[in-house]
Amino acid sequence: MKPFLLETLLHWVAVGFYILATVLFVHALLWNHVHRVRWARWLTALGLLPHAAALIVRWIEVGHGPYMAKYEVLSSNAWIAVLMLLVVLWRRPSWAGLALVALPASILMMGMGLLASPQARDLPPTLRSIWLVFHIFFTKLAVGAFLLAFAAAVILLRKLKGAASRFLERFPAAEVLDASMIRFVGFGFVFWSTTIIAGAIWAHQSWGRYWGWDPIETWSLVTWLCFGTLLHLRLFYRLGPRATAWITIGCFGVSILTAFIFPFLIPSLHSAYFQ
Amino acid sequence: MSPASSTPRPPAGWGPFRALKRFLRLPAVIVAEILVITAACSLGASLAQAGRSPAAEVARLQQHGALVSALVRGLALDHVFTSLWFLAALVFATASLSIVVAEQIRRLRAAWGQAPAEAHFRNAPFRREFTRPASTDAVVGTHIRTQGRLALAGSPLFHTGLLCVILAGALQALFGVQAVVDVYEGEVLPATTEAWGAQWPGPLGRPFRLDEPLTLLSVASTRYETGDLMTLRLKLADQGPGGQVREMGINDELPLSRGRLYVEAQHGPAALVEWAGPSLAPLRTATLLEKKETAAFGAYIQGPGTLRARIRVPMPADGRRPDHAEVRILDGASRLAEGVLKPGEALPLPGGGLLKLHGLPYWARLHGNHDPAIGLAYLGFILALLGAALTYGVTRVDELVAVTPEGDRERVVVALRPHRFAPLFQERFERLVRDHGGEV
Ligand code: HEM
Repeated sequence: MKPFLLETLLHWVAVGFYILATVLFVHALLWNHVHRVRWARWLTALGLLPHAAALIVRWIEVGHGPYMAKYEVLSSNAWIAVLMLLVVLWRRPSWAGLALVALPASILMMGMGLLASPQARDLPPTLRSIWLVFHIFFTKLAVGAFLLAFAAAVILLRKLKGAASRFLERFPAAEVLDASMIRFVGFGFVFWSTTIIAGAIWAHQSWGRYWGWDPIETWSLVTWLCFGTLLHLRLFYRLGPRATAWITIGCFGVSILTAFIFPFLIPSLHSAYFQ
Repeated sequence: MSPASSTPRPPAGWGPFRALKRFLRLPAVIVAEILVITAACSLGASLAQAGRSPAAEVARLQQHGALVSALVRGLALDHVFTSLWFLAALVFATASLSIVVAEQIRRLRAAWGQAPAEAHFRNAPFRREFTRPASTDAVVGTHIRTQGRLALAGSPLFHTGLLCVILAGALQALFGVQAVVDVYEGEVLPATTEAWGAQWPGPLGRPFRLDEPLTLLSVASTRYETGDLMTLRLKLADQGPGGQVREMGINDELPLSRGRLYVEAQHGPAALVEWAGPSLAPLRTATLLEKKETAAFGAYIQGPGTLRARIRVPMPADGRRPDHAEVRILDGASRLAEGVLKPGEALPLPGGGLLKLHGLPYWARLHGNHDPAIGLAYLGFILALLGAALTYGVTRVDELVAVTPEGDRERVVVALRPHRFAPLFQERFERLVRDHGGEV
C-alpha cells in the first residue's frame, strides 16, 4: 500500500475510534452510566494507536516531523490533545466531563486536517535539528496544559456563579478546580519554559545567538512573563479563585495568540516558513 | 488584598542599603518590574524597531501624528530594547532577583534539614482521629514522614537560573562579537580581524579573528526534487604543512579556540574572470554572484574603462554545479558582445582583447561568533528548567501517624500536610486513613 493511502486509512480508523468514544462518553456521563466511562477511555486509547502510526508513517515518508503542512500540524495537535486527555483522566477520573469537549475538538481538527492539502513541504536545512522537535512538541504540550487550565477556569467561574447542570456536576468541587487550575498553569509554565529554551539553543546553533528579539520569540517571552506574573500575584497576594480564573483566561488568550495567530500575521524569522 | 505575610519577608541586616533592599524586595515592586518588562516586550514585538524592521516602517512610526511621534520620541518606542527605561527595568529586576536568590538560598539551607514536629500538624488541612482494635504488629508511637523535600529547591534554583541567564545576556551584549565574510572555494581566509567583511563587537568586545588561516576547500549542497536546498556542507583546511581538513554545515558548527564558525544557507557560484587586451595589463577579478532569479545567479563585473560584463549563471534543476555562464559585454548602455562561456573559454572583445572565464567556484557566507558567557547561559537554562519542574512537579507533603494504646484498643491520629495544592490530596489522605484501619 502506498504510504499516503496507509496514512489516510490509519487517520480515518483513529477518527472512527474517537467518534465511538465520544458517543460512549456522552452516554456514560449524561445518562448516568458512570461505570462505562472506563470503556470510553479504552476506546479513546485504542484510537490513539492508529493515530500515532499515521503520524509516524507520515514522518518517515516526508522525512520531517509534523510541523510543516497544515494537515500534519492539525493531526499532531489532535494527537497531543487526546494524549493529554487520557493522562488527566488516568490521574483524575472525576474530570471525565473534559472528554465531551476535548474529543469533539480533536475530531474537528483531524477532519480539517484531512480536508487540507496533504502535499508535503520540503524542510529547509536550518530546521533540521532535534531542538526543533523539542521546541514544537513542548509548545503543543504547553498549550494543552494551558487549555486545561482555561477549561478549569471557565468551569470554576460557572460554579462560583452558582450555575448548575448535569455537565457541571461531572466536575470536581470548586476548591479542587481552583488547585487544579494552578497546577495546570504550573505544568504549562514548565513546558513553555522548555519551548523557549529549546528554541534558544536551536537559534544559537542556526543563527548564532540564543536570543534576538525576533517578534515571535519576544511574544513567547511575553506569554511566559504573563504566566509568571499570574503565579507571583497568586503567591504574593493569595489571589482568590475568581481573580485567578480571570487572569488565567487572559494569559491563555495570550498563549493562543502567540502560538497560532501571530506567526501567520507578523513578519518574523519564525513565520517565514509557515506563511 | 494585602501581601501574604509569609512571602516575601524583608531582608535581615542593618547594612547601608537596607532601605533600598527592602524596597526592591517589596512584592509590589517585584510585580511592577516584571510587568514593565512584559509591557516593553509587547511594544517591541508589535512596533517597527530600528535596525530590525524595514526603514520605511520605522519612519512611518516616527511620523505617525503628533501624539504618537511624541510618545515614540519620549519612550523610545522605535528602539524599545535599547531604551533607557527598559534597561533600567532590567537592572532593577536583576537587583531584586539577586536579593531574593540570596535570601532563598539562606532559607533553603535552614529548612532543608528541619524535620516537622507534631505541633506542625495541629492545623493540617487533613487530620483524623479514630480508634481501632490493638494489633500486635503495629508500632506504637509517633511517626512523621516528609516526602517531596526537593520541592523546596524549586524556586531558588529557578530564580538562580534566571539570574544566570540575565547575567550571561549582559556579558554577551558587552563582550560578544559577531562577524561575517563571503569566501569562495580555494580562497584563504587570513587570521586577521580585517579579513572579515563586517564585524559587530559589543562595546567592550574584541573583534573576531581565526586562530590560524583557513582555506575553503569545497562547498557542497544537496537539493530536494523541487530544487529547494536540503543540506550544505563546507570543507576547510588549516594552512601550513599537514593542514587538517575540517568539515562544517548548517547546524553543525566549527569550534575555534575563541568562538566558533557557523553557516546559514547563503551560498552560490562565483565567477573568476580575466580581462586582457593588447593595451591592457591583465585584470583579474573574483565576483560572488547573487541570486537574481529563482534558478539563476548573476552580477555585473566592472572591467577596464567604461566596460562592464553582465554574467548570468543558470543553475541546473537537479542540484549539479553550473558548468557555463552567459556573458554580455556592455559599454555604458550599448551591448558590445555576447556569448556562452565554459570555464577556460574566452569571449573576444570588439577592437581586440578578450574576457576569459577561469572558473565558477562556489562561495559561502561564513559567520564568526564569540560569546564569552555561553556556558553561563546554558547553566542558567538548566537551573531554571530544573527549578520550574521541581516547583510544579514535586509537592512537599508531611505525614503524621500517631498511635497510642487505649485499653484493648489503639487511638490513631493521621494527618497530612501538603505544602500546596492541598485539595488535590484528598484521595491520598483517604488511602492513608484506610491503610491505618480508619474509615473514610
Ligand atoms: C524581578 C525578578 C523576580 C523576583 C525578584 C522574583 C521573586 C520571587 C519570589 C520572592 C518568589 C516567592 C518564592 C518563595 O516563596 O520561595 C517567586 C516565586 C516565583 N517566581 Fe519569581 N521573581 C522574579 C522574576 C520571575 C520571573 C521573570 C518569572 C517567570 C516568568 C518568575 C517565576 C516565578 C515562579 C514560577 C515562582 C513560584 C510561584 C509558586 O510557587 O507558585 N519569577 N518569585
